Amino acid sequence: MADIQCSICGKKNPANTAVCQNCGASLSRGGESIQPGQEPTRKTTSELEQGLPTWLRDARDQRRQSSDDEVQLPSQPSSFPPSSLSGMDLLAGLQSQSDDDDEEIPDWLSNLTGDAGASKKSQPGAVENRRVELGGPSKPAREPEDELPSWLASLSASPAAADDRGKKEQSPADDASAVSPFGAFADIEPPTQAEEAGADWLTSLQSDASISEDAVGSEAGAFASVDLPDWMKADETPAPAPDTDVVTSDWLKSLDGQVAPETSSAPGLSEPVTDAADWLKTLDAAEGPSVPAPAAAETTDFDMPDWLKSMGDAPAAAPTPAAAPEVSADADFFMPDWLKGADEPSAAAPSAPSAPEPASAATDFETPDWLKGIEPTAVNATAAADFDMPDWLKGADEPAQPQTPSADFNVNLPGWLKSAKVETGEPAKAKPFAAAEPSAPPEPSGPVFVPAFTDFSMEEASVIDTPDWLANLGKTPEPSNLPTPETSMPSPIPEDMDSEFTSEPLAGDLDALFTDMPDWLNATSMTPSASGQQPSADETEAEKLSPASLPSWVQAMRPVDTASNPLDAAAGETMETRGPFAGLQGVLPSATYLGASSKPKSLAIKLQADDEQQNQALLLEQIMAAEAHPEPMITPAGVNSQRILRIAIFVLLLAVVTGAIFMGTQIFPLPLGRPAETMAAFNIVDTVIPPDAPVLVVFDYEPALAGEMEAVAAPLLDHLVVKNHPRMALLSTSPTGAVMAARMFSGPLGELPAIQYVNLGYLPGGLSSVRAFAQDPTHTLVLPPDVSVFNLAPASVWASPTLQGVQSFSNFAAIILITDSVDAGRTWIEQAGPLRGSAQFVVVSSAQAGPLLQPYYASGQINGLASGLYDAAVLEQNNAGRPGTARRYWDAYSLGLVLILFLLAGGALWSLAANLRERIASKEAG
Amino acid sequence: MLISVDLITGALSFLFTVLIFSYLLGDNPLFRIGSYIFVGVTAGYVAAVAMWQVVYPQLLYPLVYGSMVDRILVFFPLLLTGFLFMKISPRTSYLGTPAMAYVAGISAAVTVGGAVLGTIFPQTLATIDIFDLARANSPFASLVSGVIILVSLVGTLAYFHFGARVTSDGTLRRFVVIELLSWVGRISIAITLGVLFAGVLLASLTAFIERIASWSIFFSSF
Amino acid sequence: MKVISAAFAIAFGLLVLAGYFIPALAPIQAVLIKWAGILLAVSALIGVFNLVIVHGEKIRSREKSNAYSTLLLISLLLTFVFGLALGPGHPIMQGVVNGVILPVEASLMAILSVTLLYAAIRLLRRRVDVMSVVFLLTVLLIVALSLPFAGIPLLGDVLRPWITQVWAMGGARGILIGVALGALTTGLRVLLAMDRPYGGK
Repeated sequence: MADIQCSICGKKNPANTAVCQNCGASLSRGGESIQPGQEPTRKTTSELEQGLPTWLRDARDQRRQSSDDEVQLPSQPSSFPPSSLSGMDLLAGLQSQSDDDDEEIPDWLSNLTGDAGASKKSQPGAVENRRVELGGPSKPAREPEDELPSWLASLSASPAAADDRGKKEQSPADDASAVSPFGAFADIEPPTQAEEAGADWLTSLQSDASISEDAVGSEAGAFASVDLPDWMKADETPAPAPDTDVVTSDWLKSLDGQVAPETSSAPGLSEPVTDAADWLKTLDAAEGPSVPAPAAAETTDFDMPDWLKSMGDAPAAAPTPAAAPEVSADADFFMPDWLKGADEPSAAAPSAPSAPEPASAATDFETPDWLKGIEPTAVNATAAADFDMPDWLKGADEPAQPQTPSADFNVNLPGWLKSAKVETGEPAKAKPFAAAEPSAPPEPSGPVFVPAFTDFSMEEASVIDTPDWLANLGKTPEPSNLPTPETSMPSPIPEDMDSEFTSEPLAGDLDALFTDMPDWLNATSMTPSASGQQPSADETEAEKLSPASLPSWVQAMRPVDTASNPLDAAAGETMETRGPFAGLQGVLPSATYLGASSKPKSLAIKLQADDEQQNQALLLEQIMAAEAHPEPMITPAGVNSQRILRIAIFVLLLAVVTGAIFMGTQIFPLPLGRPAETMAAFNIVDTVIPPDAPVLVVFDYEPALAGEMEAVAAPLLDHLVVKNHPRMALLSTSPTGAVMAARMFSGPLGELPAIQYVNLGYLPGGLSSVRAFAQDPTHTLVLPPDVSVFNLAPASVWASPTLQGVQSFSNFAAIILITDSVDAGRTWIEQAGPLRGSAQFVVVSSAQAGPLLQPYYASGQINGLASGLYDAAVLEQNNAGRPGTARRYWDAYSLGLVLILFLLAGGALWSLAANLRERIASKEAG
Repeated sequence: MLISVDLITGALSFLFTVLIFSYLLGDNPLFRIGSYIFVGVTAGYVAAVAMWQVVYPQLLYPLVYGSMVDRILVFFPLLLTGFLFMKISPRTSYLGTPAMAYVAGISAAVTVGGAVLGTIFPQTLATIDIFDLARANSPFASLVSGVIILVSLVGTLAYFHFGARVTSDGTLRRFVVIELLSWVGRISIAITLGVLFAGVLLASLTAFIERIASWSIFFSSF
Repeated sequence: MKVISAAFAIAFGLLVLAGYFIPALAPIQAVLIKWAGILLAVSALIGVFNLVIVHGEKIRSREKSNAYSTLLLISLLLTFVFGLALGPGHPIMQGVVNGVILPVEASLMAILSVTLLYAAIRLLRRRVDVMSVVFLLTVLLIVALSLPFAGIPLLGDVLRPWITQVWAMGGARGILIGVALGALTTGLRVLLAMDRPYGGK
């Protein structure tokens, strides 16, 4: 035969090898990975021995060593010598965990090993989840209080002890041992003749085991071609009679008894099952050199877990493959479902952890004692649903198809399994490993053994009852559906199991655990429903496995055929060679996630806002909402009355003033009062200003009050001009000041002859330039205001004879400021006042500015102040009534004042009354 | 027939007076026409005045007809004027900031100097001098007047003092003396504002009378 | 640019302020203030130019009140052109002032009398407290005392001056001092660059 190239490392291996001799990976047929729908190739278990992880091998060795120290009792988990935890020996970690009773075991592991509760171990022979003792059938059963994994402990302990143990929480060691049945296969050695001599557990298999053809066939095929591990070889010695009180691997014992004469049938077991249980495969090869269970337990050079060792010790109390062909109806026994008969579904009760009855393990077929107690329980069913079982385990969950083992069966079985004869014709029901369905108690019609290590077909494997621990690995798939990794593998992995797996780098052998499935398991999973096996009537819905429900991690570990998937091949992605993703391409590098052990921090999606922010947000929302709703304008009541009142006032005022102006009446006398400030201004003009003196007259008012200002300033200027004939310089800080000045001298003062004045023009900068003019007037204003395109270079204004002798501000004899605003008057007083020297400062202001300019007069900053038409009237009285503007306006002014007075008084009283009326009304209204 | 300027001016005056008086009836197109024309004429006149009485005599005339010293002195304001024209465009507006800063600084200084030397000191001294009874014509009247003026003055200043402290019940209250003076100042301010209001009212009445009188002159010219 | 602006304001402002107290700096003060006056006049020109742009944009974009903007621009351009051509002192320009500017401003002031009277009448309807009553009584008194009561000399010679020169004096002086203090504070803030009304922070 052509050499088989390993798909992992690429090394060529002999054709008859199932496990790569270099990396330990499973060598599938033609080096191809399993494709969906493809039936797995049967492998020899012994060939897969090398695929066992190191820790599993170590564990088995230790178990063998410790089993020497145990005679009657199942080996203690603590009896495991400290195994040298090699790289990928998964079971090696069992030692460290075996002493810890408080460690948790995953559900899927518990399902593998059977329920830790009392459900499994309640009654002898009850079909409940039993722990499979992969050790020799001669291995003594373990004590309940052993710190073995429960599933291992249950295999070796008595039924009562198994009950107690089952009630206990499964120890992590149990979990450890149960987590990776693959690990158990890593160290499986080809069965030897010694094994074939008949380990007790194998002997029990022969008599009691009811192995489903499907489940076992493939596995048996695998096991047939795989040498048994040493510990299994040691167990192949004749086992003692089965002890109902001992949880031993009766199914193994029975197998041993059945398979013993069929040592050479190992090749027959090499059905196309890729991931056959290596350990089971190796069992076949190790049948020859198999040693009795106690002897196997005493063997120190095997990495054998306690449960395996106990299987070797169990024969002390459990039937050996040779001596106890009947499968004891020991409820403590773990029996793979595929090893069970048709009563597996009825034996497993997922909804009732205590449902599985040991008797169900031996109902319609000679179920080994250890298989009888194996029933999927509710817990296991639940746990089975939680984890993903590998294909090879799920295959075992398929309904066991009761089938009479064929003659070929005996041919392909290893010797130790061949000795486990099927004594009953009742077909053994193959129960998938992941089956959560309760298996009905097997009919006590005798042990029905369907050897798992023969060259089973899928149909044959279906009759094999799968042990509970296998049945609880996952959901019960439909017979027509292949189990999927997602549903067949347990998802929850306890921490201790994690430590088991992460504490040591996994050797390449471990890859085989996840990539290879024992043949007997594959055969179980691949068994079509056409085998004719009918599920037990007692099988509940919960026990049914969903078709193609492989756990996700099993699916992920399923090798991808690059040839069939050109995309992956074309991507040129690297293939993972290590770790659980071995054989897969395109996976994320595991190194990236190393150390990423922290759970991602959960972030609150709710906006974190305090009360104030929420209130503000609410306010903003209200504002925005209000923007969308136009509010009707509330027109205040009385809008027409307001306009009517205004019009009435205007009309009255217009009538009065127009009548007085147009009629030219002079009814009202001029005021008799002589305000002091007004008279002071008049006196300055009259007596203080010398004749022909330069006088600065500042026209700093707006056209709005030109009438009032002209009325007030005209008498004073008229008196000044008439009395003193001054040389006046006209100045303005307003652009329209020059026009106002011209208006003044062309209007009220138009009748005066030859007034000497010069217009200095517009002082730019507003009031800020007053200081500059006061500081240096000759350089502040140079050109006259009549410059134009026709007169671009007029002479300097200061060269005019009118301003002769005027070089500074203080040269003026008087400064007459005519202004209508307080600011202008204040600015001139503040800026120019300190620089006027001896010049008289007279301010002629409007009535609106007079009260605020009064303090300046009181402080002496100005020498005279005349404001308003009242003072204009006073000035005109002192100027012989000239020019008469005030007189002309006085009657209208007086009538207007009277009207204002009456309107103001009457209106105020009316408003006051209305207000009080509203207040009273509002108070009465409450 | 020559139309005198005065006739045109009178007509325009009457027209615009009516246009503005129409505002008493509410906002209407006549009022808007009169106000928009007023703004345009005022802006044009101010621009013309600024050109002929500031820009040309202060900036251009020295460059053309001035001496070298005048030309040197006019360089800086000419430069600042150029920067100030950058304010027209938003993109170059930042270049006019120094010119505006110069004007702001000058104005602030003038204001500070005038306020201190022209108002605060003289008015304070004047308030003090009221109590110089030796120079008063009527000491008693002067004294009474002085007291009234002083109390009114202090009360007015206290009214605009907003420094307060938190009492035990959490409310803000000013000092008791300040509160009392503030109350007195409130009365004084009311009287002062009443006087000012009356003055404005009288001034506006005078303006009203002047307008009517201009109508009279206009109509009498026909 | 912000630093230069602040430096300009501070340096020249302090120089001008120093001229108030140091007579030797008076000529410099005068020159600096003169230059400021020139710039203020130029800023008035810039304001007129901006007015043209704004209303021109209104006309170009055919906004709702573009007809009024058209009137404004026409009157502005005509006045400016005539003013440039004839000079501000030309009789035509004076006629423009006397015919348009003065009547409008005076009319607005005349309407103010009606508005103020109306407001004074409705004052007590809106608010009745010590200040409003005192205010209104003062107005009535001043108005009444402004009437030429020829037969009652006390009213015009004694009472009116006593109110305006004594009772109103304190308040007026207090207002003047308060305004001066406020102007002082504002000016110092500008000189110290604490406030920058010319732009920049």
